[in-house]
Amino acid sequence: MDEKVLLTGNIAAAEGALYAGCRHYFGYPITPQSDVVEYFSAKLPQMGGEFVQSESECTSINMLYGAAACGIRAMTSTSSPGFSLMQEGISHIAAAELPCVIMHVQRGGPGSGSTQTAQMDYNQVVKGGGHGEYRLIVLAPDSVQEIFDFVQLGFYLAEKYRNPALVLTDAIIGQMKEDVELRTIDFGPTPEDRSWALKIHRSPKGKSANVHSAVGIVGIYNEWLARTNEKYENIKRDEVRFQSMFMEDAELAIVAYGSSGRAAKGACKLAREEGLKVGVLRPITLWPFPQPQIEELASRVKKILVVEDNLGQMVEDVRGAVEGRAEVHFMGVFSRHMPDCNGMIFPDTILEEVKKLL
Amino acid sequence: MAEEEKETMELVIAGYGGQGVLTMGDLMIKAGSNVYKHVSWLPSYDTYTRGGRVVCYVILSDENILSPLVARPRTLVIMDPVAMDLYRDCLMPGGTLIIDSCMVSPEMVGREDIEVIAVPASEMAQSILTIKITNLVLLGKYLKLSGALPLELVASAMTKSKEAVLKDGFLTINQEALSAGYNYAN
Repeated sequence: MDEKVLLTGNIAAAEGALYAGCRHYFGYPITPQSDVVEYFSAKLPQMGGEFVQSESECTSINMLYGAAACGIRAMTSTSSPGFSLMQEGISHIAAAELPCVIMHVQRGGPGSGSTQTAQMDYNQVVKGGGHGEYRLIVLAPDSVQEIFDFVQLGFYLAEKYRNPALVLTDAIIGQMKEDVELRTIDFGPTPEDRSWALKIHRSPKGKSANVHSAVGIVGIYNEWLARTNEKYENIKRDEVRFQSMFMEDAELAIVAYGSSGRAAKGACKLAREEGLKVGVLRPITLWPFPQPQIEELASRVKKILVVEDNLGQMVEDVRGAVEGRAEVHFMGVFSRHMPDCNGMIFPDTILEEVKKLL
Repeated sequence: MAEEEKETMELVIAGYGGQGVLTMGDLMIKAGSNVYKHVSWLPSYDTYTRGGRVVCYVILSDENILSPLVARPRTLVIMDPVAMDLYRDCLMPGGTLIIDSCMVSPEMVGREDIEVIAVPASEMAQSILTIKITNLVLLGKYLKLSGALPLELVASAMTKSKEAVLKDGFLTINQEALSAGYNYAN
């Protein structure tokens, strides 16, 4: 029988990686994800793996680049300021088309910001914080179970498309504890061709792979652009994931992801108890964004309320998909229950806003 | 035979770092996961090991827990005056406020629409051994008032925590604090 245990979201992320067979982790402690680093530091040496605490996130991401180039499952994790430090490396990994998983537990920014929860890195994660034209596959769990599952899914998708995958959480779902069922998920086979990975050749005649990120200098730029563009289009076509709740007869839809998605679902339940026709669409993949689903939503509901713990980032993508066919309203950081960084957006506050709009 | 669905228990505990706010919640879900289908524990704390604001949201439920946030708890445990100022208004009208009356005077409450349970928890803890177990006195009182979980189950959950490396003597003292709160009559 599958094991059910109580874990924080952060520890579930580490367990998800271990269940996915990841034995290489490089990271640097930063609140609110330091327990991921701590957990790997204790576990990996016991399991014959490699744990390295780097001197900064700039190094973690380049260690990950090296491990990914060898074709092994490897991971790093960080929080907002650390994620900024990783941008150059991420751009190179995406250019070299290497599979790996990055765990990002968001805190408030900009700068050193706060150590409390926020969803302020949506644009940076989804639109690419590094230079050049690349995309990360971005998975946004809203529960401890999903964190555990999506780290495994992240490894699978990363290998399927040879592209870095990112699991985006925040201080709420990273630090909260819930029941988790621990099991390895079989997503199916990953591509057999692994000739791209670096190997040790005992004979000097061995054929070497060549991992590089100079796609327009060493390689043929147009070929790279065409190939990655096709890959991105395939991901957009095949990998959109979302959760829909009470949408059948909804007059108003709440669109929210991650911890705000949880609050939105709580608000939706409260609204339904009062007979209000409210539904929730929760994007699970932030890239690829569920644009077709939101386009379709705009033809069915009059009003959409986007809830995210920031000043308004995903709402721009929702407006882009809706193209004026429904009213798009926004609820963000100023709706927190406390006016400081300890504030959070509660289901009850969302319900009040819903009532004003209906 | 279908098991009867139990009432959902929502609890908010607020104090400062070092008082054991999060440990109280942690014991609740450790014991609670044996009884309820779902549990959630959400901590929020400042960046200090001791002295910063701490609040813990706990839900025990047979239903799916949609949001781990509790805006209007029916029971609130307050462990210091600052927490009183910050959280007293969130308690649902008709709800129960449990306070450590050595830290917070009942006169501070200023609400007529709630029931105030004043427990001299710090003094009781000190008389057992140390104020470090004040949280368990308050947890015991909460268990008695709410009926959320059997006392024995929470007491045995302490042996399962990583702090179970505690010497036997400490475990006994912890359990004594829990029972003292449970049996305290106002």
